[in-house]
Amino acid sequence: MSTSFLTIAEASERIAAGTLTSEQLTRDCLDRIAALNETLHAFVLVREDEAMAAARAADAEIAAGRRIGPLHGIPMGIKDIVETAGVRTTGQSALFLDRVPERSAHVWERLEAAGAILIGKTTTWEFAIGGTAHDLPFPPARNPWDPSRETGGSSSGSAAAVAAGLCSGAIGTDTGGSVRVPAAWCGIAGLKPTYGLVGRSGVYPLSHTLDHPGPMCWSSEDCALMMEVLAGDDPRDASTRAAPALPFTKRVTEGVAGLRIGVWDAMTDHIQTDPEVADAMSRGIDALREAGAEVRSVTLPPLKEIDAVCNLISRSESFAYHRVNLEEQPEKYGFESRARLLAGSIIGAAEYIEAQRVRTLIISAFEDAFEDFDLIVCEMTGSVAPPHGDATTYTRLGSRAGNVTGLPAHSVCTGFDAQGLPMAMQIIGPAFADAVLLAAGHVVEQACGARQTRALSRPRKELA
Amino acid sequence: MARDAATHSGAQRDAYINHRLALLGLAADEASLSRIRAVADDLEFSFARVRRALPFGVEPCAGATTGLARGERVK
Repeated sequence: MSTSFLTIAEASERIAAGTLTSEQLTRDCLDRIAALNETLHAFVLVREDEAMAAARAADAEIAAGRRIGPLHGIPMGIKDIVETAGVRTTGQSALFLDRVPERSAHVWERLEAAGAILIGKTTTWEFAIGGTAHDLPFPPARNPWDPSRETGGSSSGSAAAVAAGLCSGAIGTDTGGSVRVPAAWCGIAGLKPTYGLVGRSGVYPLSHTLDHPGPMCWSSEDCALMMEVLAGDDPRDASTRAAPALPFTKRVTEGVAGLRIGVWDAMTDHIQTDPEVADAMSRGIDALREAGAEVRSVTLPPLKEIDAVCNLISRSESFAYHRVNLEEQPEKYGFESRARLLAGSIIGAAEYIEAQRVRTLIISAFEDAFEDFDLIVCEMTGSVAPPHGDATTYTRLGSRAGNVTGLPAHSVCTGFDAQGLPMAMQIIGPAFADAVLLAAGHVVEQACGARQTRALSRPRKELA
Repeated sequence: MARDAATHSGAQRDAYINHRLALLGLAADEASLSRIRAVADDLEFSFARVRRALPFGVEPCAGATTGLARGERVK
């Protein structure tokens, strides 16, 4: 099996031990990209020569005893709304088709300083809002477990790339579920961190009070390795704060014994969750209970109320950001994103303010719940990945609470259904408990996440 | 004005959408307008849902504009 299927933790350990080079790992990832990207469209730009040069340089540094840390020499994909100095960053839009930023986003600055290698820029919905569309500069990403299925979005390429072993880890962004939904449908782990924990400067905004960059990896343990580097103050992002140093890599394997976990039956009133997805979530909850957690049910505000608040705020804020370009260069936007953004123009200031007021009540309700619970678990999506072009809103509703409250939320794989498609559950926690979420995710993955099953580990007939 | 969009359907709502776009100096072709109307249906539900959830009186205000819940408990 290709070394590109190693987790970050595994690859890092081998690189540190001298049994694997970054050059070999990066070469294997590039070979996978060459074989599969034409089908998966996970990357909109691949930096073959630059990545190989960086890998050889990393190997030389490590051999000279100057290993920076666990991410040194690890190839990563970065969502194409995240600026990378000297590397084209399009936002998947004709508007920015030739845009080459002079400075990198804070998240890539941190990863690069930790020795990570930029292997390429990953596919996204246009400006993270346009949905799965075919009138953009690049085709939409396909799900590696079944290319006829949706990846989810908007961090579609990041999820597909990690799931298919095209890179070891990736950065996504999450405004209403855009890290977690594609993570769920592509069978990987994705964390939307606490608002303010990871800097957003250099990331094309969608909705200023809802946007969060986050790690997308094969495992919760890998997310912890990335968060160890990503978390912290961003001088160019006023929303970040001096959070306490969080022990991500230490905490992730320390289990959930003694934690009080609330089960939020979030989707029951709204949609019929697929029975296999519900059963898989039950197995995940059982795993947490067997690991020593106390599990009880919890009641929180209705999901559709949270969704309504998210809808009004995100459409207002995204319209405000794009308004000038919509006026001056509307033809540069794809049909769907242009329509979605223009719809924000009909929301008045009073409606936006009312949504913010209800948001405050929702935040208070979650804070009250976290007086009695350490974590809350609920459905991530109501179904496995639907057929391409058939992603309904209500399969994604479960993700919005994390954005509206700013609380950390983690999507973790709970195994595969009878068709071989990945399933997931969501773990939400109080502010800055991100490391605890990842620890709970690790417990679930170990019990039922089937982390030995990899997408496209053998050539599929339809990909030949 | 947006409340009009939320509570009236058909021609009135379309007129409101057209008026609002024109006011902001924005243009949309018929296909886009059709899609905007579909999104407006969704927004109509959101307007109503938010209004139902909002009590008359005083609610806590911390965090409303930052998107961040309070509390820094770390286990």
